[in-house]
Parts: sequence; structure tokens; C-alpha cells
Amino acid sequence: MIFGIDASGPGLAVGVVDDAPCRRVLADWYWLRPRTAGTHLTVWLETLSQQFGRPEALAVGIGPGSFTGVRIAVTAAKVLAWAWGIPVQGVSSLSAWAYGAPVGEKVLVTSERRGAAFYGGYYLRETDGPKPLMPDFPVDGALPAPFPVTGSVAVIGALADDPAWLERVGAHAYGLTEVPLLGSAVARIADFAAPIDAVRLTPAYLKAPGTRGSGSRDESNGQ
Amino acid sequence: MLILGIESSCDDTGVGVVEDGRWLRGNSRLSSAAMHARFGGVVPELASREHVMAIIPAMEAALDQAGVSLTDCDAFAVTQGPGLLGALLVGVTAAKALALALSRPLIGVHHLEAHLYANALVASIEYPALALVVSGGHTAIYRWEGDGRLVLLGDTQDDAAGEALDKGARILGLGYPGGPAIERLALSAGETPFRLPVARLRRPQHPYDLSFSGLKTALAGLYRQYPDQSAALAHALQEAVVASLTEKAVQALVAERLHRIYLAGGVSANQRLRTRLAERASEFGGQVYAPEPAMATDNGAMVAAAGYYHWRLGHQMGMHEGPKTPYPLGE
Repeated sequence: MIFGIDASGPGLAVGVVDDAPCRRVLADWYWLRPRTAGTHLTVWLETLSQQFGRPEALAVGIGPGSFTGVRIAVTAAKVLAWAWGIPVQGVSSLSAWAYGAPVGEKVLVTSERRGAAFYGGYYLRETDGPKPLMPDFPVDGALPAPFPVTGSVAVIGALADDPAWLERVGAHAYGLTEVPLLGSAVARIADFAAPIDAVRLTPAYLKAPGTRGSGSRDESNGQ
Repeated sequence: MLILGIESSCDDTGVGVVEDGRWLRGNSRLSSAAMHARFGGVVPELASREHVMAIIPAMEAALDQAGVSLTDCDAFAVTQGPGLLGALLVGVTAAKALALALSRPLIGVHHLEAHLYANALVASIEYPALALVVSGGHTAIYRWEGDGRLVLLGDTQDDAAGEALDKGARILGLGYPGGPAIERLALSAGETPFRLPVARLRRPQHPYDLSFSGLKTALAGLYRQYPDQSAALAHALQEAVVASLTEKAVQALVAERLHRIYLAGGVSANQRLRTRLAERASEFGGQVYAPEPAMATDNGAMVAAAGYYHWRLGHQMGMHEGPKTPYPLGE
């Protein structure tokens, strides 16, 4: 049994899958509300471990996305894996979103936007899961090459319902507005053939930390 | 009772293992201070990122030093606030994960109160007492009635004492953190011809409040006039900060009819403060207690110690609780 965690996007997701080859979903909790990981993640994990028992492995979305959300998810996963002595594996949070695309489709996953800034991931949804067509990338105003693309491409996430951005993705871009169940998706796509040492499990921030102004102890914006 | 404590409120990832709130078994501190030095202060996002990577190595080192395993710990304690929110979230999340993994109690503690309990690692705390917390983020005077019972007597109205030293160090072109740099330079000066103003606030309802913001302006003015006198100016700055803290603390000691002062926080490592406060307190029959200098700065052992005394009071932190910042103490 594997627990999957993701808090990189606009909500909190925890899923439980069994260890059958198809990784059947036993539970999938998702709350589309920002900044809930700090208060609810360990509560959900406690409830699910009481229900299903201690997992044999943990999978976690390492971002890119909300710095704070990713940090909470990664910290919880690495400390739980270390304390329980079980394997842990990190996966791209954007690849978990791509898991929701139709098989055979190319998909552009776009994270939450801050103005024209967001993160993107370009994947091909194959039968056994999403395969990256390029490394996940940060965007600040303009999509990188190869966009715009000529073929059909599904767009998931923040740009899915924005016609102007869809046009910039490609002439045959179309939006998928359904939010995938990220907890089980993370648990399903994690590859435990070579699990990472919990100590080395690292968030994928993709951006250097902002160094504008030093912090006071009452600094309150942890995003 | 063996408690593992986690501190992550600023730029130090601290983990301590303490038995019965009194005996230090293991302590580990991984600091990202060197990374912040080039920015002249702590960069919150950078500090948070470093905590994520340091938390397990710090726990492993503290447990190793204590000669115990994680499963030997009876409870976990964590700094719940105040501090940098992103940094606190890492420590709190790690502590909640430990409590969940091992089904142990979790105790959230106040950062400043934890600093005071660093004194319990030297000798048992005797109540009632005066508590003087002096750090880069906080400067406050409390009446310490008993475990978990602090009454705020006075607070800084602007900069913290350590912040004044940091800002002074920046004016004089010294490194960050400024407190130790100012102390070293002041020591080299011997005497000083300069006098910096000690703020005398006229607040009858709050007679023990402090102010340090005027120091940097005065220091900057003198430094422009005497740029080659940085050692003497560092000495003057330290004397002004020490005089302000000492006079307010001794006034409170006498007025509250107390005989003990517990000193805590990063600035409590300053030898001039320790000496001068002890001299002035002794004139009124008072005695000053301070943690080992190594335990004066942020560390996990003080959190573990504070956690023990709060656990004895029946305090526990719920899994749904997060960091608290701001988080007033004793108000």
C-alpha cells in the first residue's frame, strides 16, 4: 500500500493505492482550498493510517508550485518515511496533473498563476503514465519553445479556461478543466525501483529564493 | 522522560534531546546564517529551504550524540512560534510527522519561553523570578511566576536589543550577525570617549518598556565624524545597550521584590551584559542566572526542556494546529 501526497497546487491531496500492478485506488481525498496543508495534511495522514494501517511506501509531489505547500508535503513525507523506515519517492507535481489527460494526448500542465508567472510541464500521456517531453519549466510572460505547437494539445490547470493563453499554446490547444485526483495520481506514477534516501528528498522549486528584504521574526508571508 | 525538541523559527535548524527537562543528552544545530550574511539579514525563503534539507540530519546527529534511537523518545516538542512562518512550518510539520509515526505526545512551545528554559539545563528554575529575554528579534522583561506562567512587565517599543547591535554593526561595516562582532571590537577598544543616548521612555503605565531605535541614528552621526574610531564606537554602542537593559531589569527586580534574574536569548551570550547585570543586581540582593553561551542562541534542547514542563502541565498540541505568529507571551 502506498500513500500519495501533493500540496503544490490550489488544494491538498492525499491518496491511498494498493500494491497490485495497477495500483488500485483505495482512497482519494482532495480539498480545493489553498493553504490547508499546514493544518490538515498530518490529520488526513493520521486518519488514513488508522483506517488502512502503516503504508509500505510514500510518494510525494515535489513541485513545482507553491513553495510553502511543496515544503510541507515534502517535509511530512521525508520525516514519516525516515521514522517508519519505509521508502519514499518524489514525483513532479505537474506530471501528476498530466495523469488526468486522455491516453495518447500531449498535455501542457500549468500551475497556479501569479499574473503572467506560473510553472509549466509538457507531457505525453502514455498508457502507463505521463512521459515528460521536456523538463518542467518556469514561465514569466512567454512560453518557451516549442510553443506554439501545431498539433493537438490538452491544457490542464490555470490556463485551461483562458482563450488568449490557449491560442499561445497552439492552434489546436483545448482546455481540460477537470481537476485530477492528485493524491492517487502521485502514488500511481511513483517509481520505487530506486527509492531516494529520505534525507535527500528535495523540493523542485525551479526558481531561486527571492532575496528582497530580510525577514523579521513576525514575517507572516510564507508563500 | 526523554523529549526530542525541534527549533526552526529563524535560520537555525536545532534538535535537542533532553531527559526530564533538566539533563541534556544530545544537541545538534545546523545553521544557514552564513548564507544570509551576504544579504545583511535573514532571507525567509532561503531559511525555509535550508530547514527542509537539514531537519533529518539534525535529528540523526542529536539522537546519535544522545546514544538513543527515535523510538526511545517519549514525546516531541517544537517551537510553535513566533518566528518566520515558512521556517516554523517546516519544524512544526516535522514534529507532527514524528508524533504521528510513533504515536507520541506533541507539545508546542513558545520560542521566548523556550529560551528561558535553557536555564533549566544548568539548574532547576526557582520561582518567582524576573526573566529578561534579549535576542535579535525580541527584548522583553517578565515576571516568571511558575512553569507556563509569565507576566509581561516591559517590552521594546521599536528595535530589539540584538537588532540594535546588528544595525550598529552594519553602520560600522562589520559582519552579520552583528552582536558577536560588536562585542569583539568593543573589547579591543578598552575605554571609549563616546556616549550614546540611553532612551528614557516616559510611560508611567509601562515603566519597564525599552527603546533602541535612537541608537543607530546617533551612532551613524558619530561614525561620519569619526570614521577611524569604530572600536570606540562599538564599545559605546554596547555600553548603551547594556545600560538600558540593566537599568530596566534592576528597576523591575526591586519593584517586584524579586531576587533572581533569569537571562535568555542570543544577546545573553554577551559577557559585558552578564557581568554588568550581575553587578547591578547584587547591589539589591539579586542574583543573575544565564544559560551556557552555547545554549543562548536558538537550539532544540531549550525546546525539549520547555516541552517537558508544559507536558507536566498537561499541555499538548493538536495535529490540526499550525505555527503561531505573532504569538504574544504573558499578555
